[in-house]
Amino acid sequence: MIFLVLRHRLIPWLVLAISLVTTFALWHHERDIALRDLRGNFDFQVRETTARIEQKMAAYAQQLRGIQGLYAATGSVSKADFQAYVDALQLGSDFYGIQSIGVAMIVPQAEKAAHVANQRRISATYTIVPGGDRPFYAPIVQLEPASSRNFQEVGFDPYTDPERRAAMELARDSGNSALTGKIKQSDAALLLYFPLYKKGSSHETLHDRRANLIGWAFAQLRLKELMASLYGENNATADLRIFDGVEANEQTMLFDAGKNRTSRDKALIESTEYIEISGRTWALTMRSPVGLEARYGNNKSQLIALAGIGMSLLLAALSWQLLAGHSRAVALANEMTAELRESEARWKYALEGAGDGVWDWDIERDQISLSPHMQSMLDLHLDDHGLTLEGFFQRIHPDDLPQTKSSLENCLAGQTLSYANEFRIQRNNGDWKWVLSRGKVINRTPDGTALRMIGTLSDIAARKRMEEELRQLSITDTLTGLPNRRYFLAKLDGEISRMHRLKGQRLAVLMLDLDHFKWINDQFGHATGDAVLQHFAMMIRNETRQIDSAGRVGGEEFALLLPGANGDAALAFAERLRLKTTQIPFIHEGKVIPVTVSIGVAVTDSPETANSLLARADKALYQAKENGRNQAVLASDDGASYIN
Amino acid sequence: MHRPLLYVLFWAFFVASRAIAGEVPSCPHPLTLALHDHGLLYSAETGEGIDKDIADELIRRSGCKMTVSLLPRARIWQLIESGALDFSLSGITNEERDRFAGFAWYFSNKYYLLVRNNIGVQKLADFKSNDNLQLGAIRGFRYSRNANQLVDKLQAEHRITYSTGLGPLYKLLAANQIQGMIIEPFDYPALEAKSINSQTTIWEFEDEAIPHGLIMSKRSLSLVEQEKWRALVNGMRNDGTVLRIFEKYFKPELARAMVNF
Repeated sequence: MIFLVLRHRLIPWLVLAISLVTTFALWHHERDIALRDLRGNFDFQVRETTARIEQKMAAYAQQLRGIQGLYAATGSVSKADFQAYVDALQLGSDFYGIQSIGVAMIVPQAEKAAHVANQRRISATYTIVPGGDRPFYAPIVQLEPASSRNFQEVGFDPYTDPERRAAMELARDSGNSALTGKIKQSDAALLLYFPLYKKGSSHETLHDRRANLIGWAFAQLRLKELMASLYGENNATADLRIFDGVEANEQTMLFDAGKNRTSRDKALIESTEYIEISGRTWALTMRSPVGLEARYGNNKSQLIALAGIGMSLLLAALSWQLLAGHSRAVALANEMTAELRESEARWKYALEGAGDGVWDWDIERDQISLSPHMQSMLDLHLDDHGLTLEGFFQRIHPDDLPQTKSSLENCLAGQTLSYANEFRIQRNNGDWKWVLSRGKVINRTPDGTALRMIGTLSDIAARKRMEEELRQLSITDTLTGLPNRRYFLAKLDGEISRMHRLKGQRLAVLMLDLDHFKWINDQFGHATGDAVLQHFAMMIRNETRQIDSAGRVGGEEFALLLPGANGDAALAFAERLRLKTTQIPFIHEGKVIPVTVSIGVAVTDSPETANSLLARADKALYQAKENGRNQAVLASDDGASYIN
Repeated sequence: MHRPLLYVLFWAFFVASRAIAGEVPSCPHPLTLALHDHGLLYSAETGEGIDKDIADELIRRSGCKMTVSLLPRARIWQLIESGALDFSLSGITNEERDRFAGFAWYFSNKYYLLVRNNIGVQKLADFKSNDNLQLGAIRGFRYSRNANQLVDKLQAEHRITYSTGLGPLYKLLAANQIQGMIIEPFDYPALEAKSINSQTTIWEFEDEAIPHGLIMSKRSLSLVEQEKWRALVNGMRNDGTVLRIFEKYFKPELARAMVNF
């Protein structure tokens, strides 16, 4: 019971717990997948951003390679030519990051004065800054377009600045572009240098390159503008920071796209990629923007979580409902079963109270269970298995069995609605008991096969006894106790029928009539007459065999049947009876009342009707009376009589 | 297969390869070759290296005009696949690369793991299992079997720091931002010159030496042309040119070990 209560209470919670755990696992799995997708997507964008920056820088270097080509082709370039060339480059929005392009030429100390004089023809104020004596100078001689945004001026010697000098030397030695670090701390301006070699000279080897260097082409870059010129923004560039070198700090930071980011915003994914650009290492740190999850799959996992929780609750409610319904059904069934049991008990009680036993036959399992009363009726003590049909049949009287079986079969076959039969059944102590069994098939298969039958068993011994008494009364002469005329005639018919069936049989009929019976009645009264009749009947009873039958067929007339007797034997019997009647006196109130009898005997050994036989015996009796009474006469076959 | 047919095919291949061996590649238009900055293979700082020498020799022998540029390795593979780049050097193959690139091998070498001394691990498995350790790698690089396994495992665990070249990785190792990187013999001299040499140990992957060679884009070069270039490279190996180039950069024994495979 406790288990049941626990089960009903526990199972919905268990279902809820399992569903929620499953939901959590699914949600977690979906988040993992979403995060993996996100990471894959982010990695792809990081690589793409890196490649775009690399290519942009390569394109800038390519512009400077153009200047190298210009010098390789012409040897020297005038300000107007350089201006025309840079104009032709159309440094528009595609090269937004390039602020200006310029050339710094190497001027040996010996040629300094001539160089300054030459330059002053173009610009009167031209001077090499910083001044002073050094083996050579590398002043800027071209710078286009001229703009106030330029942070260098014509005449400035970048070689004097260690930062620029390192890049210039790297460009010289490698023959490739070389990039400086941050030139101006404030707005992250960079310089990209490219070496210029003497027209027609070789720059195959390091020695050649050092020997044939005439100057550098350079580009002033602003990283912020460079980044702005990269087409489009993606999730990676939205929060991109670029650092010079591998150390990331304020001093090395070249670019920061995520200035509005607060320290509290924790990025889901952060990735740093290192690139080598024109001899420098840049660290590109990219962070996924805040709320990225919402854009990728998080909605899906949220949906899974919400749907999962909803489904879990629903499932738990459903299982609770089912269990509650189940327990309600069980309770109802119990109640109905109890009612049924009660009703069955009442019904059995009523039946048994009425003295009937109840049987219940499970036909499929061939098991008959008997009510306690029925068991006591039969003096039986059965175990739970009851009786089989064959076991039951064994207790039925053999004479009653065929009828019982056929009646039962008719009912099982559906030919009769119910079954009712009287038979004798043997009790355990060997006694026979008359019972009435009634029953009905209460359950059948759809094709009509009987499955179960119940019925009652009533004790009818008393009724049977009464019936027997009534039957006896109807065939007996109440005064003498001998069978009456009707029964005697029936018996005679029976014997004649038997003779018909069995050839070679003989039968004798005796008709007996008390002599002078009317005189006795008149002389001594009817009561004495009755006593005489009883006295004679007793003598008949004493003289007859078991197989013989006697009857009182009239007032003072009696008849006897002697099966198997021939004429002699029948006549001898009649004579013996007549003698005894004569010899054993009937004494009434101290007086001897003489009683004699006349007897007519008819014998047959061939089929003859009862009437014919009786008529012959009657005729012989008449003959005996005629002859003077107190004698026996045998009727001849043809009607003649022989007096004994 | 029928044996006579096999003989005929073999003979045909032999004749064809002899015919090809005698032919120089045709180059009706200028070809493109990209170098990548990687230790002794090529240094952007000095503009010199083994690959530069090999490229020069290929240009000289083929008589073809070739534009040589410097690109990140990952970009090189993309361009080879697309056919926008004809050649690159010192490449190794794998199943994916075999689909779009042909190779002409000229040296082989093993891969090594360069690890910091102070990280408290003694063997490769420990490095693999310690989540705190980061490995530096160059985008687009593949290695020998065990090295690839290490990289793939750490990649799945987000324990790889990528760079486009070797230079930043040395700096990251020195700054302890990464604790290991995969190197090859032509990285030794650069390593010896750097301060990091004293802080690091070199572990060997238990792998065979992996052949490296000329990378040819299948998209831009026909099979016949590839065979001609292969024959050219084999010629350079057979007449000792490749060995001489390697001896410029390595000690003779190491040079021979790398070239004779």
